[in-house]
Amino acid sequence: MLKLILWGVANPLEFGAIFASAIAIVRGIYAVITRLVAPYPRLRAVVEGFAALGPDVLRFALQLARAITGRAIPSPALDSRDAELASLRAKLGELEGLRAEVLRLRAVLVAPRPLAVTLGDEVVLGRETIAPPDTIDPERFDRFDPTQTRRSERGSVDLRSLALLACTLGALGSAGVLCMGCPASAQLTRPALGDVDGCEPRTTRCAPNGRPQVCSGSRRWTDADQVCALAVQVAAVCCLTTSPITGAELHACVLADRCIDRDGGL
Amino acid sequence: MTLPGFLLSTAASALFGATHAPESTMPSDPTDFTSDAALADLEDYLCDRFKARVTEKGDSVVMRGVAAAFGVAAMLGANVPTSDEFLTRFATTLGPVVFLPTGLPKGKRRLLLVLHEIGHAVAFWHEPLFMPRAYVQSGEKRADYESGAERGRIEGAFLLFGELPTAEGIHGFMQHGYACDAPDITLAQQLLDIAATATASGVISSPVGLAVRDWRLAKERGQR
Repeated sequence: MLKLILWGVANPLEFGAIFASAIAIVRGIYAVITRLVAPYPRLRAVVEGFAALGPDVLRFALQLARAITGRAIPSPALDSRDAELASLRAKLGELEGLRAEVLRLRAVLVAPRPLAVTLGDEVVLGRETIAPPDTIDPERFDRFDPTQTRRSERGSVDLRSLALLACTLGALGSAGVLCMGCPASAQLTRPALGDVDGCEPRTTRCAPNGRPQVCSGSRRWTDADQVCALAVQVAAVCCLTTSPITGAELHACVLADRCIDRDGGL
Repeated sequence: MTLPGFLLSTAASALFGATHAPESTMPSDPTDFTSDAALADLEDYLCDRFKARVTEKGDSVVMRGVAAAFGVAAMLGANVPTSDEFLTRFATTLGPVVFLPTGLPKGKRRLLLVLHEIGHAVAFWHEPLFMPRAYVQSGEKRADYESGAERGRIEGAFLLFGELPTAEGIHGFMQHGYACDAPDITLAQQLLDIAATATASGVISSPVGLAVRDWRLAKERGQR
C-alpha cells in the first residue's frame, strides 16, 4: 500500500487514470447487479449502500456530458435514485398539466364582465354584493386564555425548545473551549528555530554532553554531529581539531590523537 | 479479494515489479561494492530501508509545476534554478519520493545523488509535519537539512570509494540554488567541514551512512 501511495505521488496522472478506469468497470458491474436485485428493495439497498462508499465515476461522466451539451441526457438508470427521479419527473409533468388547467379555469371565472350603465350616474358592477364582516368584540382580545396554544403564532417560542437550544449551544461551546485547551502536536506548533543562545556566529564548541556544535548566523548553537562517545566504529572524542579538508580549526568527533593539545576533549 | 482490490494490486504489481525487484537471487561477489549492479542493489536497499522511492522527473506534472514556480521565482531575482536547470540538472525530493534528472545512468554519480536525496526522505519521515514547513520557511533550517543530507553522501562516498570531499567542494556547497543568505551558507559549509573531519576519523553517524555500512557488511557476509 505504501508503494502504491508513493507511486501515486510520483505519477498522479497515471494513478488517476488507472483508478478512474477501475472504478468505471466496477460501476458498470454494479449497474447490472442493481438491476438484477431491483425487485428486492432490501437487497437493493444493501448493494447500493456498498456502492455509495466509492466514487461514482459514471455519474460524474453523465453530469459532465450534460454540462457540456446542455441537454438532459437520459440516465442509464444505475440505481434506485434514477428510478425515483424518473417517477418524480412523471409526477411533475402531471402537476404542470393540472396547473395549466387551474390557470385556464381561473381566467374564465375572473374575466371582466361588461359594465351595465344606466341613465344618470348609477354604475352597477357585474358581480354580487359582498356582505360586510362582523364587528370586532374588544373584550374577546383582552382575555387571556392559558389553554390556548400559541405555537402557530409567529414570534412565539416554546420554553422547552428554548431550554434545549440553550443546553445544546452551551455543550458545543464547552466542547470548543476544551478542544482549544488540548495540547496540539509539537510538530505543528514549535517554531522552526529554537531559542537564541547569544553565541558568536561561526564559532564552534563541544556541548557539555560531548556533541560538536556550530553557532549559526542567528546566534543559535546548532548540532553538528552525534554525541561523540556514542560512535560505535571508533573511539571518538569531541575536541578542537584541524580539518584535513579545509585546514580550519573546529570542534568535531575525531580520534583522540587528532585533537589539538590546548583543548582537552569530551 | 474484492474486484477493485484485485485491479489495483494487479496494476501496482505491473508498475512496481521492475522497479525494486532484485535482479538475481544468487549471492553476488562479496567484495564488489562499486559496480553498477552493486550500486543499484544499494539504491534498492536504501529505498526499502527508508521507505523512499526513486524515480525520474521525466514528464511529471508535479515536477513541471514546481519548475514553473522556480522559473517565476528566478525571474523575480530569487537565488533558485531556472525551469530548465531544475528539470535537467537538479535532483529533487518531495516527501519520500526522490526525483532524479531524466536520463541519469546507473553508476557512481547517480548513487551519490541518491545518497544525498535519501537523506531528505529520512528527515521527512523523522518529522513529516514539521520538516517541509521548516525547510521552506527558514534558510537556517534549510542549511541544516542540506548539510545533514550531504553528510550521508560524504560518508557513503568514504565507505564505498574511500573518497573525501575537496576544499572547493565544501566552499562551493549551497552557494547557488537554495535561496540562502550568506550566514546560512557559511553555517552549512561549517557543518559539512565538521562532518568531513569526523568521517576522515572513521566516524559514521548519519542514518544514510550507517545504512551504507550495514549494506556493506551484509554483502561481505553474502547476505545480499
